[in-house]
Amino acid sequence: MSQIETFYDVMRRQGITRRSFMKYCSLTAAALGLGPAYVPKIAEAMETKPRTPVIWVHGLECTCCSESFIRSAHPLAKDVVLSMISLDYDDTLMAAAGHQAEAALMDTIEKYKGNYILAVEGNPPLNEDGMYCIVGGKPFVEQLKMAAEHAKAIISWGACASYGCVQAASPNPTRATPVHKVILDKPIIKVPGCPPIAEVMTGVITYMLTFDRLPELDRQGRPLMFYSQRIHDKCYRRPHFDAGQFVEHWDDENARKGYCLYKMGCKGPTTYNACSTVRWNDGVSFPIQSGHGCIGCSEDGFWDQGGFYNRLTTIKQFGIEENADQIGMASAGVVAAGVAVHAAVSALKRAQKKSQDKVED
Amino acid sequence: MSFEGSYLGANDRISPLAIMECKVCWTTYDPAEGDSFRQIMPGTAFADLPEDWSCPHCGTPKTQFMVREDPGSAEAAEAAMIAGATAALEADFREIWSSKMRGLPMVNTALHVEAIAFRPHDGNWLGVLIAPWFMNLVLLPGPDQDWSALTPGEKEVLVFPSGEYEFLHNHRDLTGPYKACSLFSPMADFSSHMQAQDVARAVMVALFDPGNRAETDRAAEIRAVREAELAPPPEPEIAVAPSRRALLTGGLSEG
Repeated sequence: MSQIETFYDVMRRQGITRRSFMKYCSLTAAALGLGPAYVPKIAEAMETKPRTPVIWVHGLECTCCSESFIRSAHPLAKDVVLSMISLDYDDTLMAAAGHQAEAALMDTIEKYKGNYILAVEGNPPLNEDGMYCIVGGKPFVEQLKMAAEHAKAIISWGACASYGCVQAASPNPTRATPVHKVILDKPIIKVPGCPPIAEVMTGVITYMLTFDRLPELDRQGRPLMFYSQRIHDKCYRRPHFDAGQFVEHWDDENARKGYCLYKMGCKGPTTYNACSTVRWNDGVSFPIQSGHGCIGCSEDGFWDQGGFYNRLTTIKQFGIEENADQIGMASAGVVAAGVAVHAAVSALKRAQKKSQDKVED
Repeated sequence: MSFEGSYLGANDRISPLAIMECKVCWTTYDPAEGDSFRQIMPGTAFADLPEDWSCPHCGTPKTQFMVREDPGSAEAAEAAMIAGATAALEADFREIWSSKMRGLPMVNTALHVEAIAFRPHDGNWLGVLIAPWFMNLVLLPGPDQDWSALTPGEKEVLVFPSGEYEFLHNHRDLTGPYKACSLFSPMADFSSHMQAQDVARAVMVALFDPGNRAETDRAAEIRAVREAELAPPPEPEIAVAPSRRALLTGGLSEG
């Protein structure tokens, strides 16, 4: 295995002079709000600290995950891309194109065998030998398998890679298949959502880089710190639900008062995501706050779960608890103290605040 | 007078209203009734009984009586206050159940509204509210608290040994202001009310156990690591040119 290049090495290889590099460092310091004293430190970090190579491949998708990712505010996506990871291949965010780009992919796989993270946006269609999605003249599924073979870990970005999303909706003509059903022998972390929240994406990737391991996952492979809470449990309209105050028609008096949207088809009670706590666009708002129910975009098969405006009836049919953190009370059918304690502890762990504001001693 | 039966004979631990019980034959002495056998007037506290008073039934000495219940104790007063506060909460949500929620498909009809396991917490009352459509941790204001300024829908983080919890501010006409943190909703996983009660009691124990902390996103730690990487090198000790005065006095004048 060859030495992992530093940021400086990459820049030098691309023909950037030392002078330009130092200039870049001072610009970075200014952009991060740091004084001139930080410039040598940034330069040193970039010269010495090896960056984790990331290969970011795109299958059947709409690029909304990338669009979301580049809007991350905490941390800034540019900070992640420019100084934490080495985004060696991402056909949306890379300068190279055509054969040069494909060469970069092969190059990276060859060079960093077993050391790079594979980020997958979208999924491979398997019908007609994968002919519904061609990248660089070959079916995407082949590129995916090749890149996955030597990956350290795989991140499935978005509902497409995690569950299939709209292209896998019934009858799924191209047989679009989520990543974990194609790649069976690698640790896969799912970050579902259509798209996932920007801060969740950068949060997952910086966690993996900083602590060099996967965050704690639920039974479906989603990071618990972002996907253990139901939208419904942390929704600011929850007091209206508890009090039985519902919007009955769009634009009625109750809608203006900001009552609960359950009767208008809100999928908050069955959706696990961080929207109601992290929110969107640097914490400005989220769908329910702007007056529309949750459509459950981060849940398995959300296109096939009935209309967006049909109210949830039997919650059981979605098997939410089986999906997420199994409580198993109803299935166990016994009143055992252990079951109650387990249910209580899981509920409390779900309810806990997951965003860390300060470092604990 | 001393007795051995309860509280190691500490007289001040029993109130004048305490109902005492003979530990031999279980005959009770109720201050409200007095003792017709010894012609003790109703309203006489146990502590005020004559020294030679003994069990009217079996003659066991006064010192061998035990507390059966004590409506005048601090605990009883607290329990009465909690009962008062939770009664309003229960009544409020029973009304919501009957008027608004009963017909909805997502409710669990095996359950009913119950405020359970309430206890004092930092001057407020903390417990669990079970309803057919949710189970919440609920914090009700204690007697000296003024929560009238709470805005419904606002979030507040409350810290317990097991972690930090976001509570939502609420307001109901009957209950008044309260804070709630959702534990379960909808309630389809509970097959009986007893099960929900067991879980609610277990929640109140688990809440105070530091072992039940879930992993956070560790954003602050990640940030700290990044900042440490980018931190400027420590400022070198800059030799400032000594002033004339400092030079002449050998630094003593700077003290």
